[in-house]
Amino acid sequence: MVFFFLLFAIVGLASAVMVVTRKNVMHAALFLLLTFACVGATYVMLRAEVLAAVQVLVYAGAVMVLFLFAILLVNMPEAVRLRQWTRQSTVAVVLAGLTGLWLIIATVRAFTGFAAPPEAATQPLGTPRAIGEALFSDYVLPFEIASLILLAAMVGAIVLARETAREEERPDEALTDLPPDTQEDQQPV
Amino acid sequence: MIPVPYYLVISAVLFITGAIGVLIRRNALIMLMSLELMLNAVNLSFVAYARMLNDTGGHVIVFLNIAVAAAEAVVGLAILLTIFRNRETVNIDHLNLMRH
Amino acid sequence: MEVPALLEGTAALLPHVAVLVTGLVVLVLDLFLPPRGRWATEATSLVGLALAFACALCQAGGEPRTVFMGMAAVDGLGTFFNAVFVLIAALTVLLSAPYVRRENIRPGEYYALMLFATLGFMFVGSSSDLVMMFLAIETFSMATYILAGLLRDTPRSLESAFKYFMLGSFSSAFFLYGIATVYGALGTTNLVALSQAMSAEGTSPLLLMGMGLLIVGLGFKVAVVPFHMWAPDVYEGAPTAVTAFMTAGPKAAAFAALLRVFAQGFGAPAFSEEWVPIFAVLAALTMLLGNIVAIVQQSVKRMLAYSSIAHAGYAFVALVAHNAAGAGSILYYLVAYAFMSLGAFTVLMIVARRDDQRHAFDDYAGLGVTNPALAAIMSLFMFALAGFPPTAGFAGKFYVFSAAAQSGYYVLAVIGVLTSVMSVVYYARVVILMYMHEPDADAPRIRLAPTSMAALGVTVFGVLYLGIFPGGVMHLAARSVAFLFPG
Repeated sequence: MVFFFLLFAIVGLASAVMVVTRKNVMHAALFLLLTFACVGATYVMLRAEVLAAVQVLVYAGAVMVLFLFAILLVNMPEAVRLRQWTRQSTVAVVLAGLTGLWLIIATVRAFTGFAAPPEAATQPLGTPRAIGEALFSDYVLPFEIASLILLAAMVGAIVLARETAREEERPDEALTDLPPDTQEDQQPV
Repeated sequence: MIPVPYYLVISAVLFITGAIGVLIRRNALIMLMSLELMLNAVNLSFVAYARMLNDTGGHVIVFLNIAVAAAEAVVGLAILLTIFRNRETVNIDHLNLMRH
Repeated sequence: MEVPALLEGTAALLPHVAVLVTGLVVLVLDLFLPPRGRWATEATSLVGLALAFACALCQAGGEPRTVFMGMAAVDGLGTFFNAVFVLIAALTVLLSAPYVRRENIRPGEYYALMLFATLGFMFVGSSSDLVMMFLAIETFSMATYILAGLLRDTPRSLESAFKYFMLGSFSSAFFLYGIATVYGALGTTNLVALSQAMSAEGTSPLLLMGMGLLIVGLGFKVAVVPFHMWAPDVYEGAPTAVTAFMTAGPKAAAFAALLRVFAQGFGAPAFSEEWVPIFAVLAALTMLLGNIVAIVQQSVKRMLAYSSIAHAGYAFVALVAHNAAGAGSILYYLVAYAFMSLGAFTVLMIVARRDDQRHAFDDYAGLGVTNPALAAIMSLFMFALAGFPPTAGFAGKFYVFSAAAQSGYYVLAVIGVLTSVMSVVYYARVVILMYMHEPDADAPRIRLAPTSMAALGVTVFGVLYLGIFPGGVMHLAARSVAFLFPG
């Protein structure tokens, strides 16, 4: 158990560092896949099997494919030769490092002397049934709002990414788009 | 059995790795990937806390978060592709029209 | 969940349902409209928003309660914010009508996304659970990211969308991490349960960490210093009609979230003494930096972006006061600012003309000669933003600073008054340019579209009404938040 925990933790974190430091986007994406898998494995160790499956399906599956498509569409070989780091990267790293230190210290401080009841740790939790029931009772409204988010994202992505259907020429002053009683704001009189 | 706080520390380290990635990288695609790392870290926290509290609520929240993260990736990549079509680059150095 | 409870919950969220249905109808309707019939999208949006407003009014005055298993709150705060958000959306529809035609944006998608964003705001205002709040924030964020990038052929607009997306998601991650930590500390994300558990158990390191993360996350959303660096670029690059919407809507929604989380959830004295000093520093920094940097701007749009940061600072002062008067004055201030900001950006949008380019101070030279009415209206908004009586800006600042003084934060009140005086420099610059400078030879006389006239009329009326008769709305605002500070 300890071995697997350390394995997934070290591999997951190391590949997260690789994601952040790789010049080549494709390499970064593959390391990201490894991190997703390790996080999924960690879910299994926490006895959250359903979420582990969702993690693999959605992240390692759907999101990853999305990234790979995007890379195929936009990746250019010369991108690796461009400057990779922001100008203020040292400041950013120091600030983020301090924040990270604060997060870790706060977590450790919160749990010094903390002992979880041992029997609680092995029971299966979040079975498909339990999650399904919670989704349609306690969390029914958040569930609906999540669907709204997906709708908004979908509409938005289509709006941005679809081919320009409109003609390249701007319509002239006699805008066909205007109701007859409306004048354009900037029309000189 | 590994104590829950260990998972929380891993989650904190993962979160901050992602945050550093967002802050220092110039490649928009890698910034997006770093964002996904941050969300993964938070989800790991939720699952760990759910285990600690023995509460299914945390799992449901992660379920919803994964949906949100997917939506976020879609919108982010859509914006990115539109920029690319316009300017043929994903390096945000090329995006400083508003520096006065 | 049982069917009666479901129906009861849906009935309690009727304003939200109205906006949702309107958004969906507009989205589909646009597909079937001939190009000349596109005005129907605006008409539908306005009718739907009017219905939502009526539903919100019907709910006023009830006892605070929660529906959907404690996820959504139906109380004064939620109802007031529902009304405010619907009003902001309606004004945005009015001011956008000429804009979407001029810039060749498809109205169906534009209004649908705007209505989805409004729905997100409304759910933030009525959420009584942190998970709900996160999802609601994400809803409006997704929609506004896209709206910011709607001018797809304009690099500035896309850059604005990208920055907004990056910083928005970054801050959402912090907010979510904060929720996780609070959940870990107390085992619940429900705000009512949280505040009870916290009063019983007191502070703990984990809770304080969660609180810190929530402050960072919401600080980015409100754009307080030092979490503001995204705001000027995003506001400047976005389409002007969207900028107007963004300075009014998301900002008010972020304050709704702050009120819910900090005044309601973390309101107990043991916690407020932890976050109030932090907020006080943020408020002071925001007022100072927002106003100082606004002075040196060369573009009116960017100046108003910094002004919007500064105004968030003023509203923050009321949050620091952490009393009933303060919470009431935040609501009042947000309404006042919505009118001022939407009005000012409407003028900007009209002056910018096609392609949304003319935002430099010089483009306002001589506007008083060529377009006297427009210049007079712009002057009114500038004076209101600077806080001159008898406008809404003055009354709002008066309430905010007196609430701060009531809680003993005299230093903040003094900083607020001093920075307001400082702000006269850059607001007056616009007025001076309009009246004391010669117009360009080719400066056109602008004929306003009827919808623009309506938007300007409503905002001018709002700014003057709130300034001359502040009592009514302030009384409503105070009653709406009374339940947060019992006794």
